[in-house]
Amino acid sequence: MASRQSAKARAAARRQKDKWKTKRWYTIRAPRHPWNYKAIGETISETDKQVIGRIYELTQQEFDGDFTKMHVIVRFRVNDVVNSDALTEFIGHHHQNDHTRRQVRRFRGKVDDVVDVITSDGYLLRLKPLIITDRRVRTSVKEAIRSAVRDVIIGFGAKSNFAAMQKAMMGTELEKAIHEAAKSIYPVKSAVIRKSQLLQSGVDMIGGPTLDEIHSDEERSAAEMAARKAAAIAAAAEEEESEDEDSEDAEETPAEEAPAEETPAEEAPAEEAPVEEAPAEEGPAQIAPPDVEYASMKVAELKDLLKAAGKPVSGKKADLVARLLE
Amino acid sequence: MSRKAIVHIFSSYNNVLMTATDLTGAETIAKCSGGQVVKSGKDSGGQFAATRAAERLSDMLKEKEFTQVIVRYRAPGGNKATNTGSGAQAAIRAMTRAGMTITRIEDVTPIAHDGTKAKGGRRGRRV
Repeated sequence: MASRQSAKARAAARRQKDKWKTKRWYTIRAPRHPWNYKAIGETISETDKQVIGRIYELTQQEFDGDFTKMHVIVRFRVNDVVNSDALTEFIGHHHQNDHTRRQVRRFRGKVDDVVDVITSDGYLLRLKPLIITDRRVRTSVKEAIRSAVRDVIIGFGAKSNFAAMQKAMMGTELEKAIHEAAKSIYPVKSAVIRKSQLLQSGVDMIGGPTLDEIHSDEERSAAEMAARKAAAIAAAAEEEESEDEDSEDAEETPAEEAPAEETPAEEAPAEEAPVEEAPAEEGPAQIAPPDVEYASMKVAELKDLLKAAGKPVSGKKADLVARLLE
Repeated sequence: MSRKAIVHIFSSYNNVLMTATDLTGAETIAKCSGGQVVKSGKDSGGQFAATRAAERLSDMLKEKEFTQVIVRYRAPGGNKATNTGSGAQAAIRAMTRAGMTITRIEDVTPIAHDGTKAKGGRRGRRV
């Protein structure tokens, strides 16, 4: 019995694995406005059709790196698929429930409202502002705050398009405006848009970078990153070499007062020193031609010269050259 | 390449069901439950079962190169118990021990804002 079952399980696993291999990955991209098709995540599917309509949620911290917004969850819905890119539209945001609940306490007033806004390009949005006052307030005060805030939000929506509205909701612009409006009625502890929902889409009129442009941009920046990485690795390798020398420099520092004992310690790095120091030398070499010959000399030789001149022999090669030129 | 998955944990007093999906929640990657890993039905909601199930799930995820997870746990909720069983915590702990990176933990228990009456009658279940 047991063996039969496991054989069946194995067959099922094989079937599943095969199915997994037929699926492919899609990059989820934020809307064109105002986020320029920023890549925000990935999803997997067998066909393009299945991707459409999927909803992707992420915290605003993950979205734009603002860690003061880690309780804000942003929602996007896939509405189009181009090759391996799933294009989305913004369908709202909401604050995490536990965050909201932490703000609402005894002896504070809570003003909640639901406001439907139409933006200048015809998008219908539902916003849910939440205002917490410093102390407990009467219903009449709450009503006054509610109507003032409603006016601000509707006015704001009428003046801005959907893209600007998204920015304002997720940034501080709209919240600041609400705060100002409510503050004049009663002292306010916090004023936020607790939730937003896209009820109906309008017509998007503004242009922006196309998906192809974004792709080439990304490729370019990836190439740049790779180049920078290679440069960094090369620099690190070089540094490692110079570190060997540095450690020996450190050894010699305490011996500065006793010049007689230094010589053996310094001769060791002499061979590798000119190689590493060469780039550093370029600057002064161009300005002052006489030190060119110093620059081409090895550290050990420079130190001999310094010793003959009765000067201290510690430091990097550049320091030595500078000291000789004094 | 490390991929991210969402692990949905449904933890009642009687069982622990775990489903790993992609970030949209639409595509199932792996699933496991308390009942699959213990012999007697009465243990399947317990901590041991949850630990074993979570380990098995982590293995399945690692096989598909998922190392980061978002955990969304829930109790039965609605007009049933809103407290999770003992399995949820154990499962999350086992998953960290199995080497998964947990980026976010969220409680998604459905909360009734009104609705039908819970079963059990006026004086509760009499045992």
